[in-house]
Amino acid sequence: MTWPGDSSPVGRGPDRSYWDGLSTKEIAARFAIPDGTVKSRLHDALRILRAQLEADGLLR
Amino acid sequence: MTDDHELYVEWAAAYTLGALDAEDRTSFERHLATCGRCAAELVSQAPLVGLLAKVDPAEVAHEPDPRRLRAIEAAAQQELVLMRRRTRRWQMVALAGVAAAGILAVVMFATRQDDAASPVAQPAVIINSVAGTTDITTSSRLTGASRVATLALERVIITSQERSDILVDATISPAS
Repeated sequence: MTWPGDSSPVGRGPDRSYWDGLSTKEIAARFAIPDGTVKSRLHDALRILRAQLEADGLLR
Repeated sequence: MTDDHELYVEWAAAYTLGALDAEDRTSFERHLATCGRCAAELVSQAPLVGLLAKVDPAEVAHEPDPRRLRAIEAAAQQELVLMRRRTRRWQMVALAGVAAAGILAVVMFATRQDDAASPVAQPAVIINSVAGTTDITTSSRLTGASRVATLALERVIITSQERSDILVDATISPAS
């Protein structure tokens, strides 16, 4: 799972968080990006996922 | 609405996924007790945790590949058969998450209930433990009778294991 539209190493964030069990701060340190950016990208990823499910009529 | 909401507005997803460290988690939970908007955000995300739990990371921890979707669909259908054996009262369920073309998508499979347009019956209660610190309990009902059912959330309870506290207990009124 990559960030939408981002296949760079930074875009691998959700993998690291969800399956590797890393915290946002650990992800931030690993990719040398701000912790707030990691939180923000997780936020966007779940928003998009939910919107996609709703658009497909799978989730209400 | 609280003054510090802007600080926490994008924290809910990390919390839901169990990605906040202990310090952030405590801080967010404190904020959550006073912020209806963050609680609502958590409720909206609650079913996603259950869906993601169905995904085999080996299947998606690669570059997006449309052909991979079919493999995941097959895995999901196998899961569906297993779940039907386990819980015959349920009419449905098997979920798989896929990443296609860089966009997250989740495919849900539901059993076909003949041709009947009868609404699906029993609510499904799913408890997900996030990183051993938070339990997210969702009660959902399946509606619709086509091959793809809609998962309608009925209730979400989010519990902190550390504090033995119920942080969020939301009942969602059914949409007509």
